[in-house]
Amino acid sequence: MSILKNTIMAFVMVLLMSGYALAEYGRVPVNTIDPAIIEIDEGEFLGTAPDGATELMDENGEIFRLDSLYGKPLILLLSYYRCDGVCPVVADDLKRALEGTTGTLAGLGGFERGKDYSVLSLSFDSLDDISKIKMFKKHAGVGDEGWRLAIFKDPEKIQDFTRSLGYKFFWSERDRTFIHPNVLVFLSPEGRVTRYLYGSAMDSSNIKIALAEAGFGKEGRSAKRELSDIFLIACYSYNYKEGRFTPNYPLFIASGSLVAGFGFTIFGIVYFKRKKRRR
Amino acid sequence: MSTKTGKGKVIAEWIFTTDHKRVGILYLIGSLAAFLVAGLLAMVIRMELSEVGPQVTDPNTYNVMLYFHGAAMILGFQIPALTGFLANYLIPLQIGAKDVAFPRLNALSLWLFWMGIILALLTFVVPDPPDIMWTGYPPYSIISPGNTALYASTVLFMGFASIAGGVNLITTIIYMRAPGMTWGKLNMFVWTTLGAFIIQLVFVPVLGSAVIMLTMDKYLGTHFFNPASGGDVLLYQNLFWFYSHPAVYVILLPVLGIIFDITATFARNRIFNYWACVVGGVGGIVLISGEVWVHHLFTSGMPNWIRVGMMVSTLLISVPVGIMVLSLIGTLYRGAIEFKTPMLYAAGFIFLFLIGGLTGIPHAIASLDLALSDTHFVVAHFHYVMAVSGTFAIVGGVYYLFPKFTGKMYHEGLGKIGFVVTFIGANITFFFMFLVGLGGMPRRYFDYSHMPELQDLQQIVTYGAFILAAGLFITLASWLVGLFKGKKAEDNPWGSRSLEWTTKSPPGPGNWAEVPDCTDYDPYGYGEDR
Amino acid sequence: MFARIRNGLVVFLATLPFAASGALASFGVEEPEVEGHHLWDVDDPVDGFHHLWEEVMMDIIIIGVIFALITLYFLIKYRRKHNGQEGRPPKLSRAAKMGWVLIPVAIFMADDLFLAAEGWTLWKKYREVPENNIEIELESAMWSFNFTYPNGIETYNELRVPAGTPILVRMTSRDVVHSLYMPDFKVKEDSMPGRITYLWFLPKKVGEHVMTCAEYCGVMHSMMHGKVIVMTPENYQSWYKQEQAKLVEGGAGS
Repeated sequence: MSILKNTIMAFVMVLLMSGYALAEYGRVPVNTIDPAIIEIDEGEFLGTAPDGATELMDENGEIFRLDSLYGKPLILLLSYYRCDGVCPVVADDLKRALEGTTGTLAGLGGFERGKDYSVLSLSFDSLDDISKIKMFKKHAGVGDEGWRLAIFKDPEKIQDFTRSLGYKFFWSERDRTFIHPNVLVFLSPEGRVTRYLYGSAMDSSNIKIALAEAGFGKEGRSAKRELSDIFLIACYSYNYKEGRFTPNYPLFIASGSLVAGFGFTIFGIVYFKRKKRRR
Repeated sequence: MSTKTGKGKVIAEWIFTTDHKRVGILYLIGSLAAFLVAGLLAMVIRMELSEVGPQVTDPNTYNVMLYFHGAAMILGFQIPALTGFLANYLIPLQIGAKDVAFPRLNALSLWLFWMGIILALLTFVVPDPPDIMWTGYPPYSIISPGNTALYASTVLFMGFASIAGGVNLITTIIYMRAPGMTWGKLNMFVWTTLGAFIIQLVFVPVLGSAVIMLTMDKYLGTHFFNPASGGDVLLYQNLFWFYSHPAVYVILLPVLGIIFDITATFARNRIFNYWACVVGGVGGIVLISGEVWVHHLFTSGMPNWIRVGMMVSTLLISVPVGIMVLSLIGTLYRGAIEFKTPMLYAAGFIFLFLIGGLTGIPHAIASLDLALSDTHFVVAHFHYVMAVSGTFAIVGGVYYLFPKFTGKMYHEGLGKIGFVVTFIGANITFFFMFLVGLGGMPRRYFDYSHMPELQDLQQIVTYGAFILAAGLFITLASWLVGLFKGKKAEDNPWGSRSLEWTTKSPPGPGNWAEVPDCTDYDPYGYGEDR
Repeated sequence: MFARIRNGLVVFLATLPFAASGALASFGVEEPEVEGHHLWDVDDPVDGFHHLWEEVMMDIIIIGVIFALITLYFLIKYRRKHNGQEGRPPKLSRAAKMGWVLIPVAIFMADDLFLAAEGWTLWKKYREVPENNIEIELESAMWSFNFTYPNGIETYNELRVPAGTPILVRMTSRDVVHSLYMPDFKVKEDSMPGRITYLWFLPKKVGEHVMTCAEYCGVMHSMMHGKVIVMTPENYQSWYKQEQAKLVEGGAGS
């Protein structure tokens, strides 16, 4: 397992770092960071609940609790606003994914931001403040309906919070940047982690399935939503090795054989009926 | 072949037979062989569990024995004995056909079955016998040192055998009925077997695909059920039970059918509310059978909505089964019951099936099943309902047809003694097993050193198992005595009105000299007003 | 037909007390033990379990005894008295035929749906975790239960819990399917690789309980068991702090 995860992380990190390396070409040796040190142990942290009472502050200085966003699936994107490299790019990727323009399953299948789910960008950088949020918002062009950007009200809580999600980051003095995983954390309406989705899988299809998974079976949902979610969850399953949802092949094979079973029975009856009639 | 003489010729005739009666008898021999081996293993298993600590085996051997016991009893004994032996032997005789629709397909089905039996027995020869239980849940079956391929191929051979048998007998029932044999004149056994074969045909392919994927996962490195690569461990469990729960009704339906026929014959009585039994009972079971499998996964983290749905559908299966039991008891009403050995088994069946069926209700309720599933309580439940009730029906059926297929009478005294001993043994064994289960003993345990207080009960269960085995050996003796020293049987020793008893005992090739006319026929045409 | 139904009703009522007493005698369920000095406002599903269990046992014993008695009565009454005797099957009118289907169907379905509703109510209790629980992680592996407490303490095959606090066990598996079964708390849930499952229970009385693996997991399946140790809240706290201190010490030392 850990080899697989290292592979995923290596992949993510290479992507991440290569962008950065292009920007700062010639100054940063990129191959000295072991991606395993910021790896999230999904087996351990799936199902955990971060502290819902954590107080956050948005760009207007309004203070709110994390659990005020609960009640519908929540996509949590941990990053920092001073970041001028990859963070705005990731936010933009997420924005485009939520618009339903990437991935193989067209659209977000009726998931409406603000109504069916919400997004929270949260900074783990204790030096970020309201003005940084505003700048980031302008720069990345995100933060409309159902997408809040926030910082921790109490910077002391940051470490506890990120640790409870298995999210690791550290400041690299030499690179003058935070090394951190680019990951979407999906929280269920009760605030439990249902999925980690890495940057490389940040497209509409994967987000749609992860949202279906996060909100499935919770109260106050329409039958239509529930049905389309059953379909998504049954037909796709999360692939820990590739870090994305892949079709659930055994189900298709088994359904095919069930259809074959019905087919045999019906075909047999019809065929022999004809044969008998001919006689 | 015709140049051969003597024994060789006889053996060749039997091996290459396409006669449905011989196919049936060869099915019986194969399934009894599986029963004997798996039954003896059950004795070793019971000896092992009789006391705390290792007794007669080691955990590895024990797990292999449990695997074989489960797989052989269900796939090698119960299903073949009912849908192979009884169905093959009885159905053409009961519908007035000279043979089945496709005699060669029938022979193929028999060979596949024997291949399956041989493969299953290879468990004791190969260096890495499967230890994955008859359920073969991944990931254990993928990482196990045991031979998963042997398990998968046993399942596949048995599966193909029953698909071939199913196609054949469904066609036979639909198109080969004698003139005048309308749907309303079919024996209950024919109806129930028709239902069982429909279930087999529809659901066997699902299990087949599941075990093929399992084998590919283990030997070809695919990741169908590997969570790291997008597979889902729970999916196999779903697919497995999607077939294997209906398989319970594949066993139950013919069991009820043969019990109905025995009861009607010996009570000289009509089936009480025949059409209710056919439409409501058989039809209802076939319809509901495919929608209840999740009750095997109540503790496996399935979503809540599917658990409540399957809880209701599982409880509702009691409705068609209840109708059939009512009809069965109603068939006794104002009858003239003669207690020959087959009838004893049919009467015993009612009581055993009541216990087995009713103890299914706590299992159907998800919240109670949290404490009961995968314990000895469920083991006792399905042994009552399948193993004991099913075996009573099979043994009763063999007694019932013994004069027909051997031409001799079995030993009545030994038969009755055998029944009493078996009945007592079965009840001691499995009733106390309920209590063991309530004490918290999980199934598939080699040892229970952390629950030493269960030892007394476990010992009673073991004693019961030995009584049960003794009863079955007495039964075997009754058959063997009958086979070699029994007096010649009449064509219709029971005075039955059913069509199969109008032939000679044993029936010759083609069953009847000419196809019987069934215009005025009624398989249950009893009654003094007639 | 009405006469028959009336007769049936008489038999039903006549056997009722017999069945009920039999049920009580043979399946008297021990009362759940409650310790006096703890007060908690948690609705323990185990109480519901005992209640529903008694109800279901009553139900199946009544049905079973009725059916068995009728069968036995028929078997004795209608035995063949002389050779050549035939049965006298009742002639059922159309209405009687329908009645013999619809009435039992209605009774069975009413019973089934009643039990399903009861079962569902209890099920929800089993699945809805009360507030203020202690959340403990379980990673099962061949062949042990590995628990991790909120402060990072790890225990193997030993679950120490304070009496009176709901315990939420959130689980996954490292290798194959296992199942955490605690017979005394009437609860069980499978733990699987790649999936998260949970169960909760309410330890009430100080003492030791068995926990054991209920899903076949290989050679040592029957040796995969441990203890649930219910401690007084004070003892638990001191143990918890002590272990935490050891952990910090160990962490500093390494």
